[in-house]
Amino acid sequence: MRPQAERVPTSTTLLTIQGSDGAWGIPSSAVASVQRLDSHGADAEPPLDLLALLGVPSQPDASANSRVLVLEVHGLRVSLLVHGTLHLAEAAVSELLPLPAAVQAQTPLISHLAVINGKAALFVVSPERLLQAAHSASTALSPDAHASARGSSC
Amino acid sequence: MLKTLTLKSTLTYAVLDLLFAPFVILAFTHLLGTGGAADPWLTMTGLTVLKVAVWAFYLAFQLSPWERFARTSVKGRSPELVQAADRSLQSFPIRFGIFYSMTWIATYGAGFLIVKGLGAERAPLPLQADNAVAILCLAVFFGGFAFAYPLGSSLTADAASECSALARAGGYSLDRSPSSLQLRIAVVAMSLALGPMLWMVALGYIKQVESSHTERVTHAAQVGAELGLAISTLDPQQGDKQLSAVLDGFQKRNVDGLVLEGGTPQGSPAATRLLAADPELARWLDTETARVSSGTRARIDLPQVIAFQRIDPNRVAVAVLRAPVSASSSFILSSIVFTLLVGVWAPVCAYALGRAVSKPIGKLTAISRRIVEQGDLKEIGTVAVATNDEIGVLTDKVNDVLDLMRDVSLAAHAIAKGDLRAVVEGTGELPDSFRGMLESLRGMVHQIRETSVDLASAAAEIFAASQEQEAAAASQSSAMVEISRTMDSLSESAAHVSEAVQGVLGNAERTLHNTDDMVRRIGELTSHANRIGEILEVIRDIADRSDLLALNGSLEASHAGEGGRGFALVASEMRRLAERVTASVSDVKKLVSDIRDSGSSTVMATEESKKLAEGTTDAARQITFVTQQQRSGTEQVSQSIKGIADVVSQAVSATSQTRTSAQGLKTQADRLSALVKRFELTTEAP
Repeated sequence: MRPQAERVPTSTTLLTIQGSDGAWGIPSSAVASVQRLDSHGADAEPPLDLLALLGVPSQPDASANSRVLVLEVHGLRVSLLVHGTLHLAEAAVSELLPLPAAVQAQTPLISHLAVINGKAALFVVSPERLLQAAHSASTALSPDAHASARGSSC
Repeated sequence: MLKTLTLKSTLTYAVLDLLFAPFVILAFTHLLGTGGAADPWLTMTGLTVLKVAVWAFYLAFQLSPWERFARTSVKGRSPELVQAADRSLQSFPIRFGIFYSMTWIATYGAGFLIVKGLGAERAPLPLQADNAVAILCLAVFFGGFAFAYPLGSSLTADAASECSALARAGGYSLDRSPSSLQLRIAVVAMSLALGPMLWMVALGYIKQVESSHTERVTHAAQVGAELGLAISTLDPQQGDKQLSAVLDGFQKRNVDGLVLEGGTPQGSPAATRLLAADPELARWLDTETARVSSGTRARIDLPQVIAFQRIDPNRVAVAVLRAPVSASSSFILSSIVFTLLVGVWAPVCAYALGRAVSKPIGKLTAISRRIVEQGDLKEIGTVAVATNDEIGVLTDKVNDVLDLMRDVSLAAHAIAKGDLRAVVEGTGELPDSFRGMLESLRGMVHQIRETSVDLASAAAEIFAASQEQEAAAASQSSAMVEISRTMDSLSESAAHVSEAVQGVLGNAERTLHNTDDMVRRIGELTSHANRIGEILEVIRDIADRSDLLALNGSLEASHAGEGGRGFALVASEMRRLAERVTASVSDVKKLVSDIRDSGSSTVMATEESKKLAEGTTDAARQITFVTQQQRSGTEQVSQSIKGIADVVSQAVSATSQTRTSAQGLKTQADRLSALVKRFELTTEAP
């Protein structure tokens, strides 16, 4: 199924993740907070690895900064484990380019490609889809899968 | 057989003593006029026995050293014992002869005093008896010495010969003073002559005294009769005047006269005093005048003789003749002259006799002395033989010995000149031994000739060898000196090395110490770096938290829209600050890491340096130890080399002496060869 086009404000603030596997962006409005991995509560649900959700085979840099992003969309929260440097960047709507359908079909969690200063800078992840996929994953995956996903982020 | 010399001598002298004693006692008692009275005989017999005991004791005392010698075993007879025994034997004849003769004098002197002590009543003796006994004592002294002295020599001759033989065998001398045979003969002969001579003089003298006594008694009786007759012819009317005239006439004839008329003396005052002083005489006159008409009273010890003659029944004429006994002066004079003549004549005769005996013996003694002391046989002629007695035979045999010695001397003289062809004739041990000696000498000279040639050759070889050896030793000595110097230099170098190594060791030890200090400081630095790393981690964590906080702040500001823009700027600045801090922390961490790496590298390098320093220290210590050992060893070697150098030097000296000795030996061998060539051997080919 082809995803429907969403309303895009004139500018949006993205939380960019500059990692060794590329640059990613999440609308800051969906990010409730950023936490350190070791400060993430032990009783809380273990964070999901963003790259794993995106299907990017990655070899996380041990020296890279790992953070837990707490996304909150429509009252639903999900914790994502990301690796890289986090920044807030203001992107105009015009700089957010929708993905071609063929590509969208292959990467359902990516909503836009941000082109900053005429160059493709990063992929913008859709928080809603990501949340949905996260819930789907959390319900579909067995506890072992959660453990595997958690273990790969360490 | 008598066992000891003392016993033998005592018995010999005792027998002779007892043989002579009765005759001497008989003559003595007659000399004293005691006749056959028992008391003098017993007295003299007792004194004689005492005399024998006294000289026997002295004889035993004199011969005691010899008896000690005789009792000692042959092994125990030391030279001192033999010499003491010989001294006693040598002095025995003269000492015992004198002592023995003195016992005779003592015996008869004491006997005379004892007899004299009996008193004039029992043994009246004239005053001349003292002189006669004195002469008699001299006679028995000489008489006793005349046989005691030669008898003593005869008795001890064998024992003295034994001592002489022992001393000669033992190689020591005896303490014998020189004596003269001629003097001994003279002394004995004089004693022999004077003894009987004085004996006869004593007897003659006392007989002269006795004759004079008899003569004065006869004279007194005659004078008494004459006095009585003269008084009887006096006229009684003339009274005392005529009597005094008669008595005066008699007084001129040494006669004191008086008349006893009714017991009252009248006449010479001297005669009257004599009667008054001698009551015994008065009683004798009363008794005798009553009994006989005339009588005489005389005692040989009194100087006067009393004679009386009865004139008539009332009167008695008494004459006191003053005439002491005496020997005639002609006898005394002739005795003195004769004694002196005998006293001179006897030694002269003895001298003549002794000379007749000792002169040939003296010649033989002189010849023996010349042979022994000068060895002059050529100048000694044949000793003339004057008699055919023992001395003549002895002289003849001495001439034979002289001839033999002369032959041997000539042969020896020829041998001394090198002529070994000398021949000694005759038989006997001496010629045989001389011929044997000559034969041995020929063989010896022959061997010496050969040996001297060999010796000269050997000496030459030794000389050459010692020269080579001396040169080699000298070279060796120089080498040793050079080695010694080198060793001294080596020792000095070792000392320098030791000092340098001591410096190195000190530096290495200081380096080791510094290295340890550096390691310690680097450790402290690493610790500080670790601490800085920890602090940086805290800072980085703080920066990370600040960054996160700023990021969340920026998120919140972005959520707030325009209203949060200012806060977003602050959060952004804060984030940059946090990132800069983080970047600075990373830089500092990198620096700290570099410091730690450098510290680790430095520690490793320091450890390596420490090992090297320890190695250096150990090596320096080993070098010091080895150097000290080397120095000690070098010094020991140097000392040894010096010792060897000394030995080599001594060897050089010894070799030089050997060379000199070899040279001298060769010279002596040549001389010996030359000397031996002087001998002419009968066995050699001409």
